Amino acid sequence: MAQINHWKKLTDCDLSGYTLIIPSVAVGNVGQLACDLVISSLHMRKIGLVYSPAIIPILGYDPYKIGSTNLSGCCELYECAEKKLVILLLRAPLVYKYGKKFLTEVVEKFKGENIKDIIILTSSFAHERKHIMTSPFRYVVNELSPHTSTLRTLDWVEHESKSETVKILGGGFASLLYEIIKEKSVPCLVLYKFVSEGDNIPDAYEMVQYLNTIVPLFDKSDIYSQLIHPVSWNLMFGGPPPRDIY
Amino acid sequence: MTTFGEINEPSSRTAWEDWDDVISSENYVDLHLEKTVEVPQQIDTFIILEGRYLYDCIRAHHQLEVVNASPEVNLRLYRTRKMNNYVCMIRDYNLILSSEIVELLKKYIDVSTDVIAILTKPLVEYQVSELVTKDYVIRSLATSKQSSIGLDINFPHLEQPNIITGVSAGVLSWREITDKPAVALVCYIEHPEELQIQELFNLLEKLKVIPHVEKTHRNNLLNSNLYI
Repeated sequence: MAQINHWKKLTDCDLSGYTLIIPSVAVGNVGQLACDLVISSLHMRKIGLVYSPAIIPILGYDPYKIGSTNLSGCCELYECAEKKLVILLLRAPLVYKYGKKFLTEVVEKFKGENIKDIIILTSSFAHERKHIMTSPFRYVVNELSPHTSTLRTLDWVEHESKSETVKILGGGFASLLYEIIKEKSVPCLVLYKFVSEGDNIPDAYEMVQYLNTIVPLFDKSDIYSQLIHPVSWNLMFGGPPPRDIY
Repeated sequence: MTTFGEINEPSSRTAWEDWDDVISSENYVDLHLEKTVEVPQQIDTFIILEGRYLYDCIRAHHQLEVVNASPEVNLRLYRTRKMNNYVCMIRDYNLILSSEIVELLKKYIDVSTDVIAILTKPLVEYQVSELVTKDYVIRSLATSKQSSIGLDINFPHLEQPNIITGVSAGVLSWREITDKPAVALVCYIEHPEELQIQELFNLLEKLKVIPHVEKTHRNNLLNSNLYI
């Protein structure tokens, strides 16, 4: 079967100089939750949607606006012109068989749009954190990234790699995407947190706070008060308990 | 039971592929439709019926003619005898194969004037802030392009944060991206073996998928004397 990915532009935008954020579907979905928070809080505009056999289909109504009758699917593009930020939000896991081709197309497409850099947000299994007294966040950066000098001034812990390739266990497609980006010579930063599955909302808040250090999106003084929960986070742990159980 | 110190990973992700290991391409499934049959130039309505409940609803009737099948994913494609409609019946498939199944169906979906997907989900998956006291709840999702067929489908919209996944979601997403109409009806149901959902039966009758509603009956073991 020929793999054809369809990109539908809803608005024409010049993305040159923009930072692209891609969350990897990973343990606890921390990257996705963090992107949800950013999209919702910055009231980002949907500028495109993607249909690809590489993504497990999901569909619902707009997760950021209650009562909306606009459909939202598994892969959408959101833009904030003021912050020069674009997010490619994936709401479902990639199919391994088609993943590499899809991710390569994503990188080529945005490279062609002259974006400034790519940031991958992901997470790793909590039990993979070897030095438990250190911060639960790690980063990987390639030499082209504009954030390299900023990162050197921060007290952040770099990802320890035993081999040449980056391996983030539980991090979904993040490692593969990083390798593709490196191959295509695009500036890239991977930011991840060691987490366990459960209520990962606090992890998402922390992730946004870390991201904000590198890419200023919110006023640093009281960042949490500026973040808005998306509608899709309601009832994350189900509705009210049935009366029959009492 | 757990042992102290043992790391237990939640099972929520067992359905997905493990990206930490390299999956051999030998394990890839290549889906195909059994027969090489000509795709019609135009179909009025393409109907997707997803789930065991709907399969049980229609299998006893002989309103449909089998056109094609993909047994690996329990997919059967029918043509209605009385209208220019096609029916795709699918159940118990691997969710990871959803988008590949949509690719198989695209040649039919693209020539269809309208698409209706009906799927069932357990009532416990229906998330609302109020208590649900009904035996079943039907909600709809529609593409931006309005349907032109007058089937009078007036079910309330699916409330956030509820979503649909799988083949129906894929087909609707494809219709949305190609600016064509489609609607999905999600039926959240508590006891599928005991219920006959009249609204769904009326709709299936209008689409000539099943005969007149009074004639329908659930032909399963629970209706027999075998296990009384």
